[in-house]
Amino acid sequence: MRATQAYWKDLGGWADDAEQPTAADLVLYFGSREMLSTPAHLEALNARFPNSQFIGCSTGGQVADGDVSDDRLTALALRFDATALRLVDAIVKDAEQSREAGASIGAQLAAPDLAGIFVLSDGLHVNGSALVAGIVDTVGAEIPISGGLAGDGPDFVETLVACNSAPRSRCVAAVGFYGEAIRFGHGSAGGWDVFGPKRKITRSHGNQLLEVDGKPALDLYKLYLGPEDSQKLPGSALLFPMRIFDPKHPGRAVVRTVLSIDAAEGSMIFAGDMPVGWTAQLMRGSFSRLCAGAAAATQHAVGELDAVPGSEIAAILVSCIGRRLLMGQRIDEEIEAAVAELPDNCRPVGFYSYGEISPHDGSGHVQLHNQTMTVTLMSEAA
Amino acid sequence: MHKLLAKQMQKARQPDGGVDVDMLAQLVATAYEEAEQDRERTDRSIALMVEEIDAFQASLERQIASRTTELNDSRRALKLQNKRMIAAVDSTGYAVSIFDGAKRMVFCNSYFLDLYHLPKKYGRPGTPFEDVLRARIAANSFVGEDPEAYFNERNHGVDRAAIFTDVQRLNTGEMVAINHMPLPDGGWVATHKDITEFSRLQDELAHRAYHDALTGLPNRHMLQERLGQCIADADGLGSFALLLIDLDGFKAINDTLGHAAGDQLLKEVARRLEETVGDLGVAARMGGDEFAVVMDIGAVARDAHLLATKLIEAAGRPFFIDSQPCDISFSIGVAVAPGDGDTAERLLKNADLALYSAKKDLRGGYRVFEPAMDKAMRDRRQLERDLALALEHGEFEMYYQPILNLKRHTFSGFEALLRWHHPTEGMISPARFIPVAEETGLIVPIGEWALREAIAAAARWPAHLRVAVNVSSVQFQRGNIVATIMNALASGGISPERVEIEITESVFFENSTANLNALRQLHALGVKIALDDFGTGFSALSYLLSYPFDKIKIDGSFVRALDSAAGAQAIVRAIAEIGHRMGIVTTAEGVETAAQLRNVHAAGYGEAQGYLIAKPMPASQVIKMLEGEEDSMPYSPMQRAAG
Repeated sequence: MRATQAYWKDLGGWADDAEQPTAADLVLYFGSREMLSTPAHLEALNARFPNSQFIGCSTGGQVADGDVSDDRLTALALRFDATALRLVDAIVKDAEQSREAGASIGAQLAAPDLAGIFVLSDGLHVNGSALVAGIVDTVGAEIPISGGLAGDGPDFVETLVACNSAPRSRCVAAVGFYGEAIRFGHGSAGGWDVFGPKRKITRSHGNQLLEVDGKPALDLYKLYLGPEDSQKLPGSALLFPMRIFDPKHPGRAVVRTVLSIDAAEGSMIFAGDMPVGWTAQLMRGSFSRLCAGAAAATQHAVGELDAVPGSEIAAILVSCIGRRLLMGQRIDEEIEAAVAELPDNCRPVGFYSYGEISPHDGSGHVQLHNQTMTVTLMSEAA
Repeated sequence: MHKLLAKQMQKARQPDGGVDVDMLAQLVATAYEEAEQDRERTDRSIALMVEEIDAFQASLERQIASRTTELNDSRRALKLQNKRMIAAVDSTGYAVSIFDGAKRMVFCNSYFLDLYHLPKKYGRPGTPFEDVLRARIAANSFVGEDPEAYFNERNHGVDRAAIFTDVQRLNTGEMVAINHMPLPDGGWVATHKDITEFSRLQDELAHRAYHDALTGLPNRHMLQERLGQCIADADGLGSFALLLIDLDGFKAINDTLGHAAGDQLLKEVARRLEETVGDLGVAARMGGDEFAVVMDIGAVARDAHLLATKLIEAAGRPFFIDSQPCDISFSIGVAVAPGDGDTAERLLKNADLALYSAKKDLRGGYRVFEPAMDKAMRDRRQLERDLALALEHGEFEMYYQPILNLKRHTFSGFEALLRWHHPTEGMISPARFIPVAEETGLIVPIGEWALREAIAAAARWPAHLRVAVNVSSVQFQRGNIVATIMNALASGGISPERVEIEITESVFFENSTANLNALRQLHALGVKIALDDFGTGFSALSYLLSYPFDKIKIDGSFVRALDSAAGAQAIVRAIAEIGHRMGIVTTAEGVETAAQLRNVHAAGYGEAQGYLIAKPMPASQVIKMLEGEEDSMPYSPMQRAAG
């Protein structure tokens, strides 16, 4: 496997000197909504990586060359020696159809030699939990799945996903990797700390949270955000993710982040299900703990990857927009913490998302995560 | 340099190597703002969290307060419930104890402590079972003589986890019924009931079932068991004796002095019996005035004779009831096992036969069973059966014996005499069947029939001739004699003056008042009353004063004795003298010789009857005689006597 990174600065051309076309089987790319809305980026990608297949999405910031950038499109071109690929997509008209869309993706990818899936999804109109459940339903729980939900900076207006075509809203795209050569390593960690009392979800519909402890959920957030940050909802709600778990399985806790709000109804839309009866607790982050989380996720992925010594390793970081909002300029420190755990020859690409998809570090159960840093490592044995 | 500042410097560096100061300033200012915002958020979060925690704590405190109230309420309710449960347990009257699997007291009620005389502290939950056992030993409320054996038995007994019930007598005297039931936790619940009083009542009931309430002697039931036991022990070889004792004269005392006196007498008899029997056997009261003695195994016939004699002697010593001497005697029937019976039933029957014989033959004596008694009794039973049928089979016939008026030398009338023509045995003597008829009560219908017959016969006679009919005292007691005579008179159509009833002194023995009244009613009708068989029995002269008899009939035995016994003449004369003086006609019965006739005539008797004068004859012969001879005799007996 060969991995090539490329950065394309709007109107500025490719950042590296290799303007020559590069042979690639798959190109993963991430950029701002604005960038992805212009045809120019597609032309540049096609010119640089002819005959390749493309999968990409809009973000809340791109990880490129150890930094976080808003104005550079970042691409990772992969050339495989012994691994077959299949790119598929599905359109989600309504969040209610998320599980069906997942099932469709899974059905298209399912094969006896399916080794892993990387998925990118619309970040605003898809219930990420249901999507993951739909894929797992069809391919089985033993297939590792990672990826993330597309972002739109702090704006939450529209997210775009591309699959060998122009980026579209309400799209889910996925790559299936086939054969015995491909190796994966996954890691996922938050580093957020719970605070305040444990609460109970008392009213919700799917990923729409209405009440916590019998009170409107939005009121709780506004109280914690304060008047100023409340104006910046829903983006500012990312500062306070929510850790939820089924009281019967406290070990399988997940972190949920807010996608949008309904001020009239006093409800909030989260990136995943908020089941009634589950325990919920607000979380807050400190810079150092978030950085430590990023490092821990990377460590786990490295530990899990059964790479052949000397082989090339590709790293894709999908981190939550909430982390970026909290850390501001110091967000680079999180990337640095992750990079420090990677082998020397491995330079990651990635993006800030509205939701991360990865096997749970503890259980291996594929889930939608929020407010985490997730790390997907790939290598080929052949 | 701070990492962030370095980064900011790097971002603000221009291609020429210089620094874009405006950009750097902007980055730094933003960083400050971000830091400040983060701090504000942190502060705000902390403050809110504190508020929330305070609110949560307040809510918790309220919950605790409310729960505490609830808890106190339920604790009170529980306490009340507990009291109710204890009351419910107590209301059963049982002592209850519950121990857990570690043999520690869970619960016991106060009855439990009271029953075993335990100090209160042993009722505390948690008290080890062993301590309770030790305390029972200390209080002596354990069972048996060996405290250690008791302790071990009980302490290990509960380990067996088996249901058991037991009745124990505590060393303190209480009888306790225990019901022990294991519980699933390895413990047990035991109920203990003080059945001391119940047990005493049971004993008393058992005593009552086997003893006579009045005298305290064993009763018939126990005597029978005792007999059965003796028979089993003797096993057909050993000898023992049964004595049945009947009080002679008791009925008269009961009638005259009252039942209370009678009871007192029975008690005294019982005492005297026990005293006399001593350790020779057991005395019992069979009921009424009948007692019994079972002599222990080893007693032979001679011992029974000796004891019977001693008993008769004991009865001979006067009894005083309310300072009044009571004259009673014992009649005793003896049966000796195994010869006289090898079952209780047989022995009782044979002793009873012997007693019957004793009472019949001689009062105040004893008879030992003889097989002949059995035959006599069987004969008698047959006689009773035949007698019961004789009336309807028309086997009776009235005979009439003329009565001679010694003053006028004419017949004054006839005495009607009952004859029984038995279908197989022929003529049966009245002496044999009358007592049986009296005992069985058959005398009432038979006597009624006899009266009707006699009166009907007399109706065919000349009007100056009277008919004398014997009436038994049983007819007075068990029949309505006045109505019977009136009916017979009415149907016979003769004047009451022509009827004479002959009674014996026994009429005065029982219900004498009622009987006297009946006599007076008959007298008022005009019926003549004669006192028959005078001179035999008690012949108390007081009877002559108690009722104005029309006639006294001296018993034939005196008349017959005139020929031999020296004193007879004096008696015969004395009775004639009494009659003469009291203005009562006297009749001499059983005159069989001319000498006797002369004698009674000389003594002043008004009438005589006997074989010398005429034998009893059937009614038809009377008619013939009367038709042939008018009312005179074929020849004068007086002349015959003279000749």
